[in-house]
Amino acid sequence: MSRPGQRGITLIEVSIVMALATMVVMGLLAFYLNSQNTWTDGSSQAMAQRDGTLLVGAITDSVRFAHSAEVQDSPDSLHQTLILRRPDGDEFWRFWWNAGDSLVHQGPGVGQDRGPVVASRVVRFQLDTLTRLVEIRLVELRAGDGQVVRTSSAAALYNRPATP
Amino acid sequence: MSARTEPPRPPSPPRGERGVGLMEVMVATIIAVIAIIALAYSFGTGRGLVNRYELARMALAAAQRRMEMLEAAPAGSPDLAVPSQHGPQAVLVDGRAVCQESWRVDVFHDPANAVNPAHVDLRKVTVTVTWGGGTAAETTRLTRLFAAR
Repeated sequence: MSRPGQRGITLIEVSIVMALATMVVMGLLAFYLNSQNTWTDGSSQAMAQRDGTLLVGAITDSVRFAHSAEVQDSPDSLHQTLILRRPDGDEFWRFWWNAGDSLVHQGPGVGQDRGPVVASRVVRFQLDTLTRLVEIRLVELRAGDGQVVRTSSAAALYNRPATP
Repeated sequence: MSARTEPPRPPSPPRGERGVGLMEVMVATIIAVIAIIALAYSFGTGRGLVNRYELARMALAAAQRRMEMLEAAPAGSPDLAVPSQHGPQAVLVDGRAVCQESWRVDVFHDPANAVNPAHVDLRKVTVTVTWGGGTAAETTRLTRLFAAR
């Protein structure tokens, strides 16, 4: 025979407590997963933005050494190759989109791949050349979460004399 | 008059086995909820900052592009006339206007050359890029000195 202080708990009480605890745990789990997704998306997008800036910076640094530049479609007009030349016309550096890994690679010439400039996949790599200018019309990178980051800029050919 | 007999009180548990009171549970729950809401707010704010700096990076790239275009412009270009103000005009990225740019060209006198104050020693170019609208408008500025040529 049980005394009042030692009654224990009934099945109904256990059921209610378990239902409430399940709801709380489910809420916390949903919050955790949602927060994790938000964090991952934000991080991957920030990395893609940083890679876009780094890629434009690398191209700008090389263009400033060049006397002339040439842009070729490779393999199509959405993905192009930038060839940079010295005053004597010799090529000294190039940037191109590699269809195998969707990354922009760089190197001193054809068949001399020094590896990708940045780790983010590039969807579009479009450039243009003017008299003393290389216009980076559009660099479109895809972040890890699938979102697209766009940037554009231009770089002057400092090694080419200015026209009067 | 008969004496009332009260039912025997259940023995109070020893101090180490008292359990947790309702108030303690409620206070702990409220503190946990406040902490979770603050955490959620910080995640949302961080995501907003990532989006905000995407535009800031595009604006800085646009300012650098304009500066390089002016650097590559011929000496007699009206874009570099002294003094002059140009823009604002929309900056397009992939056909979409993302910000507004303007630039100003001013005379800059070299402090080391005080012989002829009327002579243009250098040109000071300030490119201003603005994005966002209303109270959320933000601005970035780049300044560079160009040779008078």
